[in-house]
Amino acid sequence: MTRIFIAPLLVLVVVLSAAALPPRPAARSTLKLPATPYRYANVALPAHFTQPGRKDDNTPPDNPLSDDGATLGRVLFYDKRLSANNTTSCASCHVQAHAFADPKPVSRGFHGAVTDRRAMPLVNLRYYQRARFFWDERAGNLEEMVLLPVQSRIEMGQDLSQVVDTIARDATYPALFARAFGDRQVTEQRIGKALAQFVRSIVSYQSRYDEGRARAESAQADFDTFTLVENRGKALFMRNCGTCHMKDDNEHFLVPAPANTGLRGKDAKADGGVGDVTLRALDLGSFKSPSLRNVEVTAPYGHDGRFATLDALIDHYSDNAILDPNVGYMIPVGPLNFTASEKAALIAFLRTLTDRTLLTDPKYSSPFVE
Amino acid sequence: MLIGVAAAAAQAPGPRRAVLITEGPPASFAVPGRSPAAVIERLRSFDANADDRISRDELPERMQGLVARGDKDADDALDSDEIRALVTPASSGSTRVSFRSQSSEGLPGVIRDLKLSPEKHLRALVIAGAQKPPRRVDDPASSTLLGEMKALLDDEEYENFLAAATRLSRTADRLRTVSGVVGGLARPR
Repeated sequence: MTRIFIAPLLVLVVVLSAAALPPRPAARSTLKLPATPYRYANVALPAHFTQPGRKDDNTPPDNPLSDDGATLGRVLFYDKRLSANNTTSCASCHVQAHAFADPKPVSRGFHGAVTDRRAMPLVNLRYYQRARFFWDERAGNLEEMVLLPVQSRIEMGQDLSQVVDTIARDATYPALFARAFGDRQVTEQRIGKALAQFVRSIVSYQSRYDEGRARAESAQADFDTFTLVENRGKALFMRNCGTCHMKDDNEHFLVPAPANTGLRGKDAKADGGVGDVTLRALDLGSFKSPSLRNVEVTAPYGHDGRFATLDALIDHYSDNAILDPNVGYMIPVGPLNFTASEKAALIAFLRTLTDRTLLTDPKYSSPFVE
Repeated sequence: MLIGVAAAAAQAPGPRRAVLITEGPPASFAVPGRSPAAVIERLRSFDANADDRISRDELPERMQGLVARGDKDADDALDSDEIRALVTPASSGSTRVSFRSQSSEGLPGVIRDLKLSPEKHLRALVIAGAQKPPRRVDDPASSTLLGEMKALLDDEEYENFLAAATRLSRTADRLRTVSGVVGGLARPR
């Protein structure tokens, strides 16, 4: 009994103590940037990204991607001084090796508290035409999205004016702002723009899928660089998953709108997703879906990380009929009843979407050397 | 257009479950919505102290902006009237986009997806094409088709063929049910 009473008290004391602690001094680290900026803008993308008439790119006219802008964004993305106690950067939860997703089921904030969702992968966000972000699409553009975790009391707990003050007094940042924006002025808006440029530059286009696609007449044709099983998996994917994940032949593997895949159930306490923002009954249980590019390395899956493996994720669609009338899909879904052989083929195909170059490219890595 | 019939559980003991394989038209249709009551119930689930008000602190951080949106009496909380006022007008809209089912291509599509050897592929297409399109699931053409496919394919290929054929028929079934494209087909027994 005593133990039951004391345990929560201890937790409370620890949490209060942590909250009262002054920010840790920023870890000593050296910023190392190449003399010539890495190339982020005007990258030669494959033809299947640039077909005439495609209108996927959500880059706003007032924040075009530039090498200097994305470079500044990269530095900000990895700078732990953007959190209240200098412990947490955007990259703490958005990990390059995991396609900028959080490998934990739910993400932890700057003082150790857990959020109720996991940080999403950040790959090919530039091509989400609706330009709404987070699992519940509460951010109306990328420039707004990148600043919300900084200000969250759980995630980074920082006041934006404090960030501006810290950065403006830094020895190196003002020069980076000058290169990115033409003068040394540091503003909240410019921080958002630079971070958004960096995130928009994270484009996956060098997977084995892209290699095969470049040599094929269409996405549907067999790829001569694929094994038989991978081509079978591709055909299965396109037949059963492509309606949503490749709508209108988008090869970013993004679902173009939030979808309810039956994860919520009937519990009123369960995460309402987009419905928690719009307060529309139809949206309850709908979530934005991340791109399937690099899905091999973005486990666990789902907004709450409930699916530990690709097997478990495919089982969800294989074994469950999505009967909730509130499903986001306009076509009936499942149960798809995949055979073991089909599941293996699907997973073999999904692994072809892994872009090792992106996962290790130094231009997306931390510019700080401890 | 009905183009073939397969048995989903041909390898399982007991009576064979027959399923329809049809080629339905691409369709788009609305799904029924939910009552705003579900959203109100969702919001009330946050009332931890059961005082019929939802204060900012009772909401997850990502939802705390709702209080500013709906708090008319400036008490930094949402009461029942304020919740209803927030939810009701919002429930009329929708963020959905329309998804269309992909053209099924019928049995030839199922066979192509199996990635058989060229010779097997051609023979499978001949078998599928030679069958007179049956009108009912218990049409004898079903067992003829399946028998010939089973003789042609190895166990794994046949299992995958059956699974894909069953999905094809289910999709077609649903499309017929919802869009009213029925055509007098019998349901599986």
